[in-house]
Amino acid sequence: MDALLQDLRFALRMLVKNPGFTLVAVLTLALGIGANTAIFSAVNAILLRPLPYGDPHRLVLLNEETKLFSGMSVAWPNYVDWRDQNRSFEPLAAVQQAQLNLTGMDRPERLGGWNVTHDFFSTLGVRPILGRDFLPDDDHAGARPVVLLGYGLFQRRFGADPGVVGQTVILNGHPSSVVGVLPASFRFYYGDADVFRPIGPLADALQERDDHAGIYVVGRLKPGVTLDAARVDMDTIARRLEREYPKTNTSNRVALALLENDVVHGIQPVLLVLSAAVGFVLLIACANVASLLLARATARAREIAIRCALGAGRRRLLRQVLTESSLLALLGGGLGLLLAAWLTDLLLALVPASVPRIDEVRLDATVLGFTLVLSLVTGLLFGLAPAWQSCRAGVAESLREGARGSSAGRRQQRFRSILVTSEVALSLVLLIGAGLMARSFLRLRDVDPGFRPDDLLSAQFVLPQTAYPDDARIRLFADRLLDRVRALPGVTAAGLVNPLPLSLEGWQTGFWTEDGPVPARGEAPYSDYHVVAGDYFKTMGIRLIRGRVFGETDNETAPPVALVNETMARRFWPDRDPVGRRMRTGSTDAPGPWMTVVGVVADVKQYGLDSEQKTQFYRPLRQLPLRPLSLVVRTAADPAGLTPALRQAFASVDADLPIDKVRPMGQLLDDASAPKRLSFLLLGSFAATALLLAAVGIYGVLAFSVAQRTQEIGIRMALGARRRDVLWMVFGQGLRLALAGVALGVTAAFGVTRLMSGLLFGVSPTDPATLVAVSALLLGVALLACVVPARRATRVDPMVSLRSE
Amino acid sequence: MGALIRIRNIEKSYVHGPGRTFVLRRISLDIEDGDFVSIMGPSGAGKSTLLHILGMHDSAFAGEYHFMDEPVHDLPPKRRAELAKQSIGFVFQSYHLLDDMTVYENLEVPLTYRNVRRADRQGMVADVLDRFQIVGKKDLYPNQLSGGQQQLVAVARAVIARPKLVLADEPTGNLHSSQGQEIMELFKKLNEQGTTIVQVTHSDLNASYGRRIVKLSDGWLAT
Repeated sequence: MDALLQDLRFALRMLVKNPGFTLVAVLTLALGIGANTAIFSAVNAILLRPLPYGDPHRLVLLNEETKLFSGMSVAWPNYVDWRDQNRSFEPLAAVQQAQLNLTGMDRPERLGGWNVTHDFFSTLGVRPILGRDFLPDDDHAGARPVVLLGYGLFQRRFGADPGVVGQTVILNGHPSSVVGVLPASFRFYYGDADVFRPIGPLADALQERDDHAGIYVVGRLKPGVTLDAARVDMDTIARRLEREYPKTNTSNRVALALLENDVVHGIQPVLLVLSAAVGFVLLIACANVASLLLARATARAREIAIRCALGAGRRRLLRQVLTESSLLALLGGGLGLLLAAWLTDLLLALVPASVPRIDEVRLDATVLGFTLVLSLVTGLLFGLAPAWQSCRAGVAESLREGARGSSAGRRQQRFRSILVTSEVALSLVLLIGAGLMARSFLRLRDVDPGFRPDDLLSAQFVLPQTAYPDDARIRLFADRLLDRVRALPGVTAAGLVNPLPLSLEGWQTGFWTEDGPVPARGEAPYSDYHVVAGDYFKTMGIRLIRGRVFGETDNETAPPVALVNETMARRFWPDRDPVGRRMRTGSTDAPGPWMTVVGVVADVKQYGLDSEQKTQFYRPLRQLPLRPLSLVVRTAADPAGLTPALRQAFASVDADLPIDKVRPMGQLLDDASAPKRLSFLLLGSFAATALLLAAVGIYGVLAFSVAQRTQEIGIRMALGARRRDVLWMVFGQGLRLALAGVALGVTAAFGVTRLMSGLLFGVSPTDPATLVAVSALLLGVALLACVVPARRATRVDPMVSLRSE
Repeated sequence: MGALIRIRNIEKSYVHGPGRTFVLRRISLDIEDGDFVSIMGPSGAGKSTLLHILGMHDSAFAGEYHFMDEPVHDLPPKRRAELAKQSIGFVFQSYHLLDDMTVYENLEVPLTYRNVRRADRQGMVADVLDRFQIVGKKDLYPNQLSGGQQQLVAVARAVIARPKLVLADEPTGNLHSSQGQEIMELFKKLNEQGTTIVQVTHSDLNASYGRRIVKLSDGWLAT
C-alpha cells in the first residue's frame, strides 16, 4: 500500500510537471471515454436494462402472419383459441390500441389508450400503485365500464390525487369508473399509455375471424418452456385453426418474438453501429496516448534504467508505469464523464421521442461503473505498450555514457508508426461510415414524398361513437368542419384523410380486380387504403396523373368509386388504363361492392421516406365514413400560426372534441428523416473526432521523429541536402504512414460497412465515390499534419545540431 | 568461504552480420570480500562491460560467474535480480540521480525496492544524510546541486541499503580534482568499514586509493 501511494505520488508529480502532455492526454482520453459513456448510457437504458416488468425475459409478443402479410394483428376469435389451446404460456393476454377522448373536464384531451384483457398486467408482472387491477368480472360484455390510469395522466389531469380511485371519467362519451393507477415506472412501448380499459365489453364487435382489428397478444412463457418450443406449440394450433376455418385462416401462422427484442428491434442496429464507432474513437484515443507515452518513455529510458540499477524489479516498474497511465485514464474518465453528461443531454434533445426507452436514458450507477472500468481498462490498454517497452530496454545500454539513437528508440519509433497507421485506418473506417450515412441522408432528403409539405398544417382527431353513432353524423361533421376551416383567413384549401401520410400508421385490406382472376382463399393481395374528403389532393399537392379526383357527386347514393396510386396502376393494370376498371375489397366469400377506378394519383410515402412504395387506393369519406381522421390545411403563410384559429374552428363544431398532434407536415417530413439525420450527425461527429485525433497522432510521430533526427538532418544539410529534400523527407514519412493507414482502412471498411447496410439508403456499403472522397480527405488532413514538423526540420541549423553532439 | 566474486572464462560478444565482435575474452578473476579493485584500461577495452556483468545488469555472457558462491550464470532472472538488489550498489560517472525527486526521495528509492518499512526507511535515510553531511540538501532537487554534491548523493544512495559490493563506473569522471578526491576518500572510508569496492577508472591517482589494479586491453585481461 505504501509503495502504491509512493507510485501514485510520483505519477501525480510527473503529470503536474508536464502540463502540456497531461492536458493533451487527458483531453484525448476524455473525448474517447466521454463518447463511449454517452452511447453506453443509451445502450444500457435501451438494450441492456431489463424491461420494467416482472421477469421480463419470459415475455413474448405474438401476432398473425401470412405469406403475403407479416406483422398482421390477431383476430379476436383466433386469440381466444390460442389462449384456450396453448400449453406454453401461463396467461396469454390481448391488447388493442384505442383512440380515446377524455371529456367532461375543463378541456377535452385525446388520450393514448389501450383495450386489454383483464390478465394483461398480471401477465406483465405489473401491479397498480393505487386501487386494484382489472378482474375477470370487469372483462365481459355488459360489465360496468372501468379504467386504470397511467401515472402521467394521473399527475397531469388529476393532480396526483389518490382520491381519483372510484371517480368517474368520460371516455369517448362513456362514463367509466377509475379502479386504479399504474406505477410511474410502468411503460408500454407501442404508444402512449394514458389509460387502459378491459376489452371484454367491446369483444362483441370483434367476433369475425377475418377482422384483424389491431389486437396483439402478450404471453408469459411457462417456466422451462423455450421460445422455440412455444413456436412449435403455436404452429400446431395455427394449423388446426386453418383446417377448422379454411375461409379465414388459410396460410395464417403465428409469429413469436421476445418482447424485449421486439421493443428495441428498430433502434438496435443503430446503437450497435454507434457503439462500434465510439469504440473506434476510444481505440484511436488510446493509440494516441500510447504514442505520447512511448515518446515520453524514450525520454525516460534513463530514469527507468536507473531504477532497474537501484533494484526495481520488472513487475515494480510495470506497476509504476501503469499507475501513471491509470491515473491519466482516471483523470480522462472524470472529464469524460462531464462530457458524457453534456453529450447525453444533447443526444436526448436530438433523438426523436418515438425511439423506445429513450426517456429511460440517464447517467446512473451502472453507467458510472462502466466509465470507471472503461477508464481503468483504457489506462491498461494504452499503458501496457510503453510499460513493456520501458522494461525491455537494457539497463547497461541505457546507462552507457552518451548513448543515443539506441535500438530501443528505433523500436519505439516503429511501434509508434504502427499505432498511427492503425489510427488512420480506424479513422478512415469511421469516416467512410459517416460518409455513407451523409450520402444516405442526402438521398433521403431528395426523395419525393408525393406531396408538397410547405405551408401545410395537419391535426388528428377521433369522432367518438357516442356523439357520432352513424355515418350521417360523421359526414355532417366533416362538411361543417371543412366549411369552417375553409372560411379561416389564410386558408387556401382543406381536406380530410385517414391515415395521414408519413404518420407511419397504415390501413390495409385485401382486394382484387375485375380484370384479374379471383384469388384463392387467403391469397388476395393487400393494399394500403385511405379515406379522404374535401379538397384533399389539392390541399396536399398530390398530382393527378389521369382521370379525376373525387367530387361532390361521389356520395353515399352514387356508385362506389376509388382512386389508385401509380404503383397500384402499374402493378395491376400494367398495360391498360385503370380508369373505368373495377376492383373490390373484402374476402372472396364476403366481397364488398365493386368500385370503379376514376383516377390515378401520384405515389405518396406513408411509412417513411426510405420505405418501399406500397400500392395505395383512396375512397371518398362520403362512401366510407371513418371516425379517426386527420385534417390537412394549406395556408398562405406560416402554417404554425394558424393553430389557435384551427382549434377554435374545431371547438365551434364540437366543443367536446379534442384534437391532437397539430403540426406542420414539414415537421412530419423532418421526423421521417430524423433517424438518418441523427445517425449521420453522431457518426459524423465521431468521425471528425477520430480524424482530429489521427492528425494529432501523425503530427506527434513526425514531430518526435524530427526532434530525434535533428543531428541526422544537420549532417544531411551539411552534406548539401536542400530545403526541398528535407521537406520531402518529412512529408514522405507522414505520407507513407497515412497511405498505409488508408490501405488498411479501405480493406477493413469493406468488411465493417456491410454491417451497417441496413441503415443506408440509396447507397452501397462499398460506394466507390465515398471511399475515394473520404480517403482523399484523410490524406489531405495527414499532409496538413506534416506541415509544422516539416517546417521545423527545414529550420535545423547544421552548426547548432552538430555542435550539440 | 571462498571469494566474494569468482569469474572464470567470461566472454562477451556481439553478432555483426556474419561475424562476431568480442568485447571480453576469457576473463578469469577473483575478488575477495573487503577488497578495493580498480579496473583500468584504454577506451573500448571492455571495462564498463565487465562492470555491468559484475553488477548483474548484463546476463548475456559466456563463462562462469559466482557471487557469494551463487552461480550467477545459472540463476533464473528473478533470483539474479534479487541477489543484485540485496548485495550490490552502483555509482555512475553521470551520477544518474532521478531528476524529478528530491535528495531525500532519491535516497529512499533503493529502500522502497527492497520493501523496507516506512519507519525503518526514514531512520536509514536520516542516518545516511547525517553520515554524508547532506542533511541541509535533503529537500533539494538534483539540478539544484553541484556535480560533486550530486555524486555524493549518488554514493550515499549506492550504500544506503548496506550492500556488500559497490560498483563505480568512473565515479569522478565528471568532477574537478578536489571534488574527485573527496569522493575517493569516501570510497576508501567505506572500504575500511568493510564494503567491497570495484571501480572503473582512467586515473592512476584514483586507482591508488584501491588495493589492487586489474588491467584490460582489447577485452583481454592484461595482468
